[in-house]
Amino acid sequence: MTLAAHPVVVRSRAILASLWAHADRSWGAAEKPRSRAGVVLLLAAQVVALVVFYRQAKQTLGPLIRTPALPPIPATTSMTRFGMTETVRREIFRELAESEIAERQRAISQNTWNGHAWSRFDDLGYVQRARGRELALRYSVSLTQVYLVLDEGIRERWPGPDGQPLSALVEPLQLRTE
Amino acid sequence: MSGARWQPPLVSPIEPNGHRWTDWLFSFFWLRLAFFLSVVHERIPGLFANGRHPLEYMDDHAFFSFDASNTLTVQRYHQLPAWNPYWCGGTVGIAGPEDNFFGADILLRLLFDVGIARHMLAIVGLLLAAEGTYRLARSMGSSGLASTGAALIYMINSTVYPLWLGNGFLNFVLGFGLLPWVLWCFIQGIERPGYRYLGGFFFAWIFVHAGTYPAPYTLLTIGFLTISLAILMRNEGERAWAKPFVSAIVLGAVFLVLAQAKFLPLVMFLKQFSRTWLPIEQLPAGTILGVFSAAHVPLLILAGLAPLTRDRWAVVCALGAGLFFVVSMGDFDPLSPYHLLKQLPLFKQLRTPERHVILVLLFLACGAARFVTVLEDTVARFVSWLFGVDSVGELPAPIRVTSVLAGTLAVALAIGPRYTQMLKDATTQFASVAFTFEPPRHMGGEFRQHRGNRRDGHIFPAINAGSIACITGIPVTQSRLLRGDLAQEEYPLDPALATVRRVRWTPNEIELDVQARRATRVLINQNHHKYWRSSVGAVVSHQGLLAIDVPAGRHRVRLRYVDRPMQIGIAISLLGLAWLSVVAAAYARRRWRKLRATFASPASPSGGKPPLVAVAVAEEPKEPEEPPSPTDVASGPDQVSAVDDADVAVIDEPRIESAGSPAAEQGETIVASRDEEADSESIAVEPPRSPSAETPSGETTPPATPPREDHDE
Repeated sequence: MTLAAHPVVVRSRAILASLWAHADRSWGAAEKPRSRAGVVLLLAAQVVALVVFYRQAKQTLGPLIRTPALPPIPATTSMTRFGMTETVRREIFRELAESEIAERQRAISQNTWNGHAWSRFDDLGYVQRARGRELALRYSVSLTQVYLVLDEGIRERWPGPDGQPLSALVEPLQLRTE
Repeated sequence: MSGARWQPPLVSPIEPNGHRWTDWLFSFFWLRLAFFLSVVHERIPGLFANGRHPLEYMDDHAFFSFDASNTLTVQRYHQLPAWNPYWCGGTVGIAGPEDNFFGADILLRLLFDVGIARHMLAIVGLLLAAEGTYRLARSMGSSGLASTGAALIYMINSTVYPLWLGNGFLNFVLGFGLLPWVLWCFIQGIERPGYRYLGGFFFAWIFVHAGTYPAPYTLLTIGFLTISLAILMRNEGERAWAKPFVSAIVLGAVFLVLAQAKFLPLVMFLKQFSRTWLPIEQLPAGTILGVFSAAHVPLLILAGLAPLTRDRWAVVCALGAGLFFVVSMGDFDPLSPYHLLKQLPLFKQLRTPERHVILVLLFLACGAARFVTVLEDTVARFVSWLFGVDSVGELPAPIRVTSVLAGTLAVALAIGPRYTQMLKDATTQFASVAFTFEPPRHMGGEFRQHRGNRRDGHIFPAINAGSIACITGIPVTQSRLLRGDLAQEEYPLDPALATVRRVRWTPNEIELDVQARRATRVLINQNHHKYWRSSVGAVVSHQGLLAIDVPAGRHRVRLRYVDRPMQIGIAISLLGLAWLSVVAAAYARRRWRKLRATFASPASPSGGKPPLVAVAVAEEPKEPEEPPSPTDVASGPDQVSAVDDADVAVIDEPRIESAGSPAAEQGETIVASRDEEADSESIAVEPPRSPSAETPSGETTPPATPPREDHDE
């Protein structure tokens, strides 16, 4: 048997011929292979591509997926609720109430939104949010805890700076049409 | 030897014909995806950091809240989120326009924390945008290189994407990411029925994923393409003009079936509430142009030059860009397109016409890709001219391969830096996409209403509380009696007459023990909706509050929210999905058989039915496959056997012609298969393909898919 007739050589040549035929036809685009060898090689190439993607995805998305969760709100104890003492909670609530009262007064004095009630209430939310973030930073608590304190103060009718509890009602949704 | 025939470089037929081997380099789906992912990672690093954090902007917090309440309803209460008690004091869930529950991406939200899922959704949306645009541009015949450029422009350089991402409008990011997929399927569906179903699926996905704007825009774009293609194809055979309509109608029908789970309840919701938007919105052309930065100039030049080549896709793209540019200018005249659109039922509730710029950009990107493709082919065509051959395909193989590579490299070097500059420019625009806001911390406990704050809406579901303060795109009725300080959320109107105790609470079902001395009313601290049903007494609205009139006595009251249109819609959608699954399974089976047939038959580089790369392997966007030549079909017993195995073998014997048969001589290509959907193997005697065909403008063009020529190098 000559070397050229050796099955391995014959097979190799067939594969090379298949590849070349594929590449050669490929002026006619990414043609699909028409032989077993072609299919296998293409599959192998796709697997390599998949591995490349997997490595890329692992590198970029891995840290994102593994981001640890924040700890839940601490359980209530005899001294604390939401991880804070009552004194701290009342201080936070008082400051929230103070900013709310100030905003309500500003809305009336400046006749904001021409008296559009929902828009004024919505402004209140804006102020509350800003103050809430500030308080969270100052007291080293989370924003969630600040909102829990607000909820507690409204439910328990803690007095604000004016001695009155905050209203538990909201202005019903009434979108501006202009 | 196969190859595109020499053609005057200024003329291209509407079907893809500009094939080049370098496209093969771009054909690996996973490699493309890895590349697009690396670009997103490089240019928008904010998406990959701070996994659980929301964005700073308040709208992101509202969307975060919707996602969180949906997830909570499914995971903790094992219910579909038909009713959302966590927002506005109770409002519709799935039926709401902004709800995205039925999106195929629901898995992300169920598998991961909502914060992480939202990051991933943004990334998925961008990758879909890139891959979809790549496929769309390829289906227009653009090269792999040019299509990749188009993908990057649409994904990264859109000047509206940074705004949407920065505001947390992930429904836009995903919806407009899927839009090119629908268009791609629509175009492919003109010749290949299977794609119409797939297109319908993508369209339905856009719709159910809170596609408030992407869905109508998709509809608009399909309408534009249908009419444009029908006009351009009117001379391409008997009733060729009807093909785009058929594709659009089938795609639309599949969409309608699959989207019913959202469509029906949404329609009922919109009948009950409608949006009033009075301002007449109009923007001068300069303002719209201002959306594009200096870095976009090369894009505008390329897209502007493309129609000069009289390439029909380039013309379509230029028309599309122009049309949607004018639409973006808004209601500047009673005859302006936007004004006319606003007269339509679906479109009259939309606003912000400048959002149509996204469509301008898509068409510009695809139009520019056409011109880049023409440039890329120029080298090989020039070499052909030097060698005095008519076709690039007639060049000696090494020279052909080299000249094509030279064209691709030359264009990459010439245009690459401009595109890179556009990408750099995008980086500054995406600077606002920073997930730095504090994520919510969880706390258990019974559900109760909080006075709330819509600007921090993401906080409340995590502590199992509703935010009464809210905003919605379409104003819903909100009771004045909702309170954030109740000791119990369900209570008697007159405490002297009855006592109420909560037995069980879930978002869609509440069980109460009511002991009433006399007939009385029980109030629930949520908004009333007509779909609430009670096992005892009657559900009524008490100044907008959900209430039940109960008779005297002791009762176990079971209050349920039953959205019948949603249930009917889900049933229709499930049937549609089941039907689509059967179609997909049959298709996969056929592909698998063909693949098996390839392995069963002796290795034969040139023969046989076109085999396929199977199944799980993502593959190159389909070029319209070259029909096998008559010699291929009738090349011997082996092939007939392979064909038989491949389930495409009901060869209509009398119709099989040898290469020298009259039919073959007339240029008819005979292909046989069992059913119409067998891709290129469908039973059809294709119309004669003469070496050249007349374009509508009278230009001579080569056949869209030149017959393959066997060769032995």
